[in-house]
Amino acid sequence: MSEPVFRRLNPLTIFLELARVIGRFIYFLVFIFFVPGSGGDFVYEAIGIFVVIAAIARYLSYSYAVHDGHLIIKSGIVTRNNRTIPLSRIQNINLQRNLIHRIFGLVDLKIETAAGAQAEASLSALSNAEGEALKTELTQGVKKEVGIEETAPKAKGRTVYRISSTELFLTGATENRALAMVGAVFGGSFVFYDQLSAMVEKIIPNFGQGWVGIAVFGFVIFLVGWVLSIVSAVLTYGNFELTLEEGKLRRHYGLVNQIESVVPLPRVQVVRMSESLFQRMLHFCKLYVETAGSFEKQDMGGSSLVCPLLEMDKQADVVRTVLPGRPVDTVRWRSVSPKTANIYARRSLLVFALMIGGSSVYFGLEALWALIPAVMLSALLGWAHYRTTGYDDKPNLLATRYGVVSRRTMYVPPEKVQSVFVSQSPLQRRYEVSTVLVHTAAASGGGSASVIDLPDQTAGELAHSLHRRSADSVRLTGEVL
Amino acid sequence: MPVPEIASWSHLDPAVKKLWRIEAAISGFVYLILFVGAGAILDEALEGMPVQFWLVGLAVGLALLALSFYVAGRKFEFWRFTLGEDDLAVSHGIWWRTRIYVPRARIQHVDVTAGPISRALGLAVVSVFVSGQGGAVATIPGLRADEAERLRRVLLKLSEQAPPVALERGLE
Repeated sequence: MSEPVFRRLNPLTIFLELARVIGRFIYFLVFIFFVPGSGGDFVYEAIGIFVVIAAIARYLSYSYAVHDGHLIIKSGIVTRNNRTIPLSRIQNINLQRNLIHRIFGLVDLKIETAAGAQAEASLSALSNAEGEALKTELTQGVKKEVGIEETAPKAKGRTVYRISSTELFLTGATENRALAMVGAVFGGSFVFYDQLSAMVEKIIPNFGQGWVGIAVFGFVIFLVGWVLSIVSAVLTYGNFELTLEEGKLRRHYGLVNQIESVVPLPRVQVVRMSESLFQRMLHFCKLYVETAGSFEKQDMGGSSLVCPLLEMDKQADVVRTVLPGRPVDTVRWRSVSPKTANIYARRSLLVFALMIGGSSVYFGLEALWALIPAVMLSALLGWAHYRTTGYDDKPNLLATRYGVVSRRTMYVPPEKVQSVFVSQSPLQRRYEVSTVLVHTAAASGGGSASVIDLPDQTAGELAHSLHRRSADSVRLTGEVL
Repeated sequence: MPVPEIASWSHLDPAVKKLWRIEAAISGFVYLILFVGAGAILDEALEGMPVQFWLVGLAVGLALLALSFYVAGRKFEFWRFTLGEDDLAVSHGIWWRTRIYVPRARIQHVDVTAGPISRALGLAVVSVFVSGQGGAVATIPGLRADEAERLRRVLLKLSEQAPPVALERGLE
C-alpha cells in the first residue's frame, strides 16, 4: 500500500502563530514596557527570536495526510502526537475565519467526531482553496446524513406525560431548598447558642427564649423555604408536557420562562430515575434522559429532566416509551454480594470516626461516646445499602439501582454501551468483590451506570456479557451511538 | 455466559520501566529539593528543636523516590492488553485494578504520542477514544514505536470493516 503523503498547512500559518505566541506573552511585554528597568538590554530581541522560532517550529512540526480512508495529523514539537481519524467517523466539518484569517485569505478547518465536546482536529490555517478542496476530499469519505428540516410544530404527537396539579405541588413540596439552612441553624446553635438566641429574640420577639426560640426560628425558615420551593416549582414546571412525535421526544414547560426542547429517541443513551427520601415515601420519582450530543445542531447533549415528578405506578410506561421494547416492568432486582453491607458500613464508620474525632478536640473526650451510636448507625446504613443496591440484566436492558437515602435507578440498553470497566479496590479485593461500570455516549456523568460489589465471578460474567452485546450490536447494525 | 480466560496477554515493552523511572527520578528530584528546602526553613524558624527537619525532608523525599521506583516495576507487571477478534481489553493498576473492554468498531480515533524521553528510548503511547468520554477510554503506554504503529493500524483497520456510521439514521 502507498505511503501517506503528508502536507503542511499554509506557510502564512507562521504569521498566525506569531500573533498567537505574542498574545501569550502580552502581559509580560506590557510589564517590561511600562516598568522601567525591568527589561534588560536584549530582552525584546530575545523574546522576538524565541517567538519566531516557536512559530516556525510549530508550522514545521504540523502536517496532515488523507490516506486509506483516514485523516492522519502529526503535531507537537517536544511531545510528538499522531492522531488518526477514520473519515467515516467525521460528523462535522466547519470552515471558520477570524479577522486575521480574512486578511490573509485563510481558513481554519475544524473536524468533529462524536468523541468529545471539542473539535478533534483544527487545521489552522489553510488557504481558502486548500480548505474547500480538503473539505470535499474529507466529505467523500463521510456518508451524508439524511437531513429532515426541523419545522415549526406539526401534527400534535402522543402525550407521554402531563404534570398534574398534585404532582406539580409535590415537586416543590418534596424538595425543601431551605433544609440545609435549617440544619445550619441547629448545628450552629450548639456552638453559638448565646449569639443565636439573642438574634432570634431580635428578629421574632415573643416567640420564646433559648432553645424554644431557636426551634421556632428553625421552623419558620423551614416553612418559608417550603413555600418558596413550591412556588418556584410551579413557576418552573407549570404545564409540563412530554410528547412523542415521529420518534422525537418533545418537552414543553414553564409558566414564566417557557422552554421547549426536542430529543430524537435514538440519541437517548440512558434513562435515569431518582427518588429522594420524601419522594420514596410518597411513591413518586423524577425521570431524566441522558443523551449523546449532536454536532449537526451544536447540541452538547447531557441530562434532561423529562418528568419532574411521576407516580411510581406510571414509571414503567414512560420508560418503555422512551426506550421502546425494553421490559422495564419485568425487572426483578437482584442483590449484589452481601459483603457490600460490610464494606459500606466500614466506609461510613470511617467518616463518622473522623467527624467525632475532630469534634472531640472541641468538646473534649466525652464526645468519643458518640462512637457507640455511630457504630450502630453504620451497621444500619450498611444493611440499608445492601437492601437498595440491585441490578438486573435482561438481554436488551441493564438496570441498576443504588442509594440509601435518595435512590438512583438507571436503565441502559446494552447496545448503547461504549466501553465496560471492571474495577477492584484493595478493600474490595479482600472481600472478593468487584465493580462493573459501563459508559455510554452521553456526555454527562449520568451517562454511566455501575453495579458495585458483585462477587468477582459474577462481575466478570456481567462485564463480559455486556461487552459482547455492545460489540455484536455495532457489528450487526453499524450504529455506533 | 462464562468469561473466556484471556490467556495471551500482551505486555508493555520492558523499556517502559526505564522511562517511568527516569520520569520518577526527575519529579522525585524536584520533590526532594522542595522537602529538604521546607525542612531547612522549619529548622530556621523553630530553633532548638530536637529534630533536624531537613534530614526528615531528605528521608521522606528518598522514601518517595524509592516507592516510585518500586511502583514503576509493579505497574509494568500489571499493565497488560489483548487484541481480540473485534475488541481490545486493557488491564492495569497495582492496588486499584481496572480492566477495560472496548469494541474496536466503537473507536472514534486513535492517538500515538511520544515525549522526548519516550522517543530517545524508542517508545510511544497509544490512546483510544470512544464516543461520550472527553478523554481517552484506554491507554497503552510504553510500546516500541513500531509496535505502537502496528497496533494503531490494527485498531483502525477493523473499525473500518463496520459499515459507515449513520448517526440517528433518518431522524435528524
